[in-house]
Amino acid sequence: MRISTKIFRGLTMFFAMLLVLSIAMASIMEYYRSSLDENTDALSSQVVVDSDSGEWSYGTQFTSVADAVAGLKDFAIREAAESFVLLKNEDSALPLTGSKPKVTLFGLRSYAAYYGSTGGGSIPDKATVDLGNTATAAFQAAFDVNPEMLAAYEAYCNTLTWGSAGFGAQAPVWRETVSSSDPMELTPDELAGYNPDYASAYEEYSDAAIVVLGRTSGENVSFYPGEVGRTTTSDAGTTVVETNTGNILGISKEEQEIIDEAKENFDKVIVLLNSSSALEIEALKDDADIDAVMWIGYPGVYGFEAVASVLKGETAPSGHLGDVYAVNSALAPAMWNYGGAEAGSKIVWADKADYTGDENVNSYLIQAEGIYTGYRYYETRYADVIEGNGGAANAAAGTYVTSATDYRAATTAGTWNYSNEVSYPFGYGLSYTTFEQELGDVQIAADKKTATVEVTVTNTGSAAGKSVVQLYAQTPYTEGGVEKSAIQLIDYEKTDVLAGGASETIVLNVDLSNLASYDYEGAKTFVVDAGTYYFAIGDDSHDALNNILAAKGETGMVDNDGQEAAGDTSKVYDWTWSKDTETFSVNAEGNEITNRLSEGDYAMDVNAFIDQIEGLDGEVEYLSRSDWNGTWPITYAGLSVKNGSKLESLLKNDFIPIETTEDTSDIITGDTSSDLTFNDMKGAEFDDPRWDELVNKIPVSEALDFMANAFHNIQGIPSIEFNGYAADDGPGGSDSHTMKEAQNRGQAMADAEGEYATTGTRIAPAPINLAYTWNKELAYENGQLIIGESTLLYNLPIMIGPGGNIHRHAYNGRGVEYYSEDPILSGFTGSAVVQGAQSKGCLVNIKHAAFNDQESNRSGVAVFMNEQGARELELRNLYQMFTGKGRSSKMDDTAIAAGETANRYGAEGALGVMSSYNRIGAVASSANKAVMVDIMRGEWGFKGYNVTDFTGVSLKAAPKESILFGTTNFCGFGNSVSYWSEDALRGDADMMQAIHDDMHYALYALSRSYAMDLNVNTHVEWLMTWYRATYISLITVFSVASLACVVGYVVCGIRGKNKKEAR
Amino acid sequence: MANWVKNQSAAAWVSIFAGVMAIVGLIIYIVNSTTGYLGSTQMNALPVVFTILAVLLIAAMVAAGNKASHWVSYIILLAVIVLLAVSVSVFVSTRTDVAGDQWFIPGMDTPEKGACLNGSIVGVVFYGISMLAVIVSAFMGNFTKDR
Repeated sequence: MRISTKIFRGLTMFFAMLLVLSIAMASIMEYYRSSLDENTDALSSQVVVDSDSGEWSYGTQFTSVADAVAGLKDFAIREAAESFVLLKNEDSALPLTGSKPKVTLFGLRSYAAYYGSTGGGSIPDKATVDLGNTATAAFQAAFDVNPEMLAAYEAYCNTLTWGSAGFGAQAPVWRETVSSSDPMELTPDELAGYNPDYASAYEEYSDAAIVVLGRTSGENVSFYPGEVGRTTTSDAGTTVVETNTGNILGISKEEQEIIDEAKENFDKVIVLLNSSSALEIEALKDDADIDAVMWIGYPGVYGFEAVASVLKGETAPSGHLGDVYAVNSALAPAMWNYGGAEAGSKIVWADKADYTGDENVNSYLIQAEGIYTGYRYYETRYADVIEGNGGAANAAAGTYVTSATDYRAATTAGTWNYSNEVSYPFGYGLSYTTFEQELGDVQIAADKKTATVEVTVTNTGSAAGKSVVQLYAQTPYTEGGVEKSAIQLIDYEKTDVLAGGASETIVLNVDLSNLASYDYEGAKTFVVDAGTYYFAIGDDSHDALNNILAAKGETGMVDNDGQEAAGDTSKVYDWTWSKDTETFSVNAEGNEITNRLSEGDYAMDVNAFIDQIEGLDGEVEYLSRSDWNGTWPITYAGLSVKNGSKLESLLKNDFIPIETTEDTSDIITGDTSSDLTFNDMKGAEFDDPRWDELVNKIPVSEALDFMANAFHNIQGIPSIEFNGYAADDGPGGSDSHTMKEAQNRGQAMADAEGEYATTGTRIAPAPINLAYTWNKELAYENGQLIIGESTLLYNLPIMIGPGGNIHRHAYNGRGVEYYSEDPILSGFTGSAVVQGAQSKGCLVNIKHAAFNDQESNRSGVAVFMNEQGARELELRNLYQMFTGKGRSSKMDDTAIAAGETANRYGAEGALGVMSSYNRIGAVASSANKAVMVDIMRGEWGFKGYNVTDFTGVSLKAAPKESILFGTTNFCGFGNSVSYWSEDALRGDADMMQAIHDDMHYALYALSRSYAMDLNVNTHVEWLMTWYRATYISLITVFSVASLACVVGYVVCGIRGKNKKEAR
Repeated sequence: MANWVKNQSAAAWVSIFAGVMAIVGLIIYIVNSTTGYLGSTQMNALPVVFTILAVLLIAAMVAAGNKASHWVSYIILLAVIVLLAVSVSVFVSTRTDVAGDQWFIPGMDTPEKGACLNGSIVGVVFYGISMLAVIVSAFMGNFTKDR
């Protein structure tokens, strides 16, 4: 064989291989194009307007990118300023006086601030910070800042990496300073290493020392109590941080050193808490040398302007805590069952190795604390101490704080003392002025369902400010009966800015169903027991409880500081009800409520599986105020599942077989006889018969394709002329789109490629800050601007958010994305956000339904609790969001219509939800029929889009069971199960009907969204991207090269043959 | 047999090596697809069929030696390289979701996924060696020694 022939033969093989691999690469890139777009700043498609005379229902309120940036910034600063909670203000240390006070900033977070979450869907917009909107710039604009101290932190940070690592958006943080096991604070000695003169200008900048302390928070972040939570292991070795409570949320030794440095050199010391997790700050409260403490949470990329404004008194603080601040949060009863193997906890299935990886069986979470989370525990135990019930004063070793000066857990049995346990109660928050709240007329409706409560608020000080009316309730508790919290928030409202001496009368429209308790053992529904009921207003939950205790004639109460408190009976209203198991057994939507989670395959009560679990010594006992010590949770360690049990098959997420021989001829698919298209359904009600006609047109293959490809994507459905669109993660704004894509009804904004091209909508304070404003109107505006405008500006009909889980305890590192520990504060805030977003045509995805209570083993953890806990906490919270409850009484139709969009508040509930990574009970959340069908769709009347949380069509999402129970889409890539085809499913009548119904749900929800506007008025055009250019070039080059080599081989071969013949 | 061995050219031995490497890659693919993290999912059969076909074509080519014209050898080699490239492409594309979870999504990494990906990488390397060997053999000339 001639050499030239060999060469052409070899090259043919080489280029043919590269050609095939290039084609494969192209296929993979197109498959993941939404992810590539998000992470490489590419844009693979855009909508193009068909005609100028379109029919649009929605449209952005902004006229240009500059207008949008300015409008969003204005809102973000307003929201931030209302969210800060003034916890301590001795001798009116705040506000600082003077036009430009001279201050010294202490603490790493004064320079390397946390603007927001460090992971997940609420990461602050780094590009905006990069444009100069830094904490330092805000401080320097408002204050004359000590440059020497600043120089020390700057020098340190210059050695670090700016921007977080990983998939998705980058957080504006110095990467190496972010740790959940170490605050990373620098000591004065360490500061000297970066600037020996760091302390040289104290005297010149001595109006105040402002110390900023912080902790990280975000998706996949967990804090752990005890030494394990303070230990960092890396290539550099193991370090253990010392703290004053023994926990990572306590004040670390390094933080205390920097505080001491401030105290020693300044007369006025102000501490700012830059954290979403409740820090253990009793030491700051008790320290007479610390003049003021203010929680700022995560104020967003512009939020430090608001911080400065509040510190200077331009705005009075009006935020209130949405979580109790315990002296040692690790002693809350919920903490006895928390975490996963990574924290040394034992709550992992002992037999998890018996399951395959895709079955995703790892750990369990038995929430033995029942309803006693957050302030419900602390205030109820306090009430029982005062009233002498349940042995509340006697505490076992390890369950209470040692003393008023030693914040660690006591090692011997002793006395439970409220003042030792709680630093600041739920609802607490000071102002620069004082308010008097007077309880006025209270009307309880005869049908028990509603009440109106009038409260007149008067500013009795001189500074202008806002006040929050907090209405709490107490329901009668009988020992041994249904568990009751001694105090619970029932409604709230915020005043306008009141000048000194001004008054405002607030009317609260109370939904009394939120008073009812869930009796899962007796009536199996919501009940009210016989006895006296109390409404009370108060400055916070503890104050309101004291008012009620006073009305009951109790004595011995103490205030938040441990001082004797008399209570104010004028702030209490009481009435008597007889026992009633009927009124609240049907909800406002007219649907019956009964046990769904107490027994059967979908139970959340682990006692329903008692005979299938090894390692349980009798039934799980839930915490009861009838015997605090006797029912205190134990850690349920080392459990395993009996082989061959039903529980074992449930955990495998494969428990409903597919039928193959059923007659499904009456379920029509792929019908080509109708001319109906998606666009024809604009404005159609859910029960419009044309939906059946439309869905019947869709071939099963298109339906499965639509369902399976929902990772930040809405797949097109050609048979009904529905174009595909992008979707994105929230809730803090669009995760991956920027102003360069900004459009107004399909027309690019003229300045889209201008100064703000790289900035986005993730500019507001963190969701937890929004809740701490206690302002329903502001929450509605947040929904409109942060989520809703992301939809309109970037053509994203679906935005994933708001966060709808509640805080079980302080140690879940993702508390930043969720609102509060209280279902009413969280639920009403979320409800307003949902309605605001939907008023802009956004199809929200409330996430994560439900019980996403921890990040440890978050994918796969089996969450168990009794039905009372589920119903009165997480589900009560979600119910408000799903059904548009809790609308502000101050929010009139005109105000809602201000965004020139339709007023649909409460007229229809949320139209979208994202299920959770965790299991609900034993099965994947999306496959829990009790929650997904019986409660969500049955009781709440939910008729919308239901998508999994970043889980494709794989076993861990239990795909066929999830489809049967209303999951419309899978937020993942493709499928890895054997039955994802029409051939496999056509013989199962239930599955075929479920696919039909799920398409109806999804398309109905989309028809109410901006997707309809886009579909009616635009078409989608594909754009050239770097990756398309790359694979097209490669395929072209390798095709030509391959062909050339084939030709070369043939030519050489023929020539060779001719020469051979010539010889 | 001894004569057959003596008659084989270097190109034949490299082709045989390519076939062996492909078989190893295929075995790893099958094991990786049917055990561990992917044990409960349906294996894509395309790499199995295509790799076996490629190996059979290599065997046929070697067995035929110089009896087959260089045109036939050329077409067979082209088929082999395409079959192997498609096999490895499917191998990779069916692991991209696992890789996304393991390497890019915070908190979604597990030891089982890690083990699956490590095994996949080894399998892909064997397929890569096999394809390179096919290409090398294509540069080398006839499959039996010239007399």
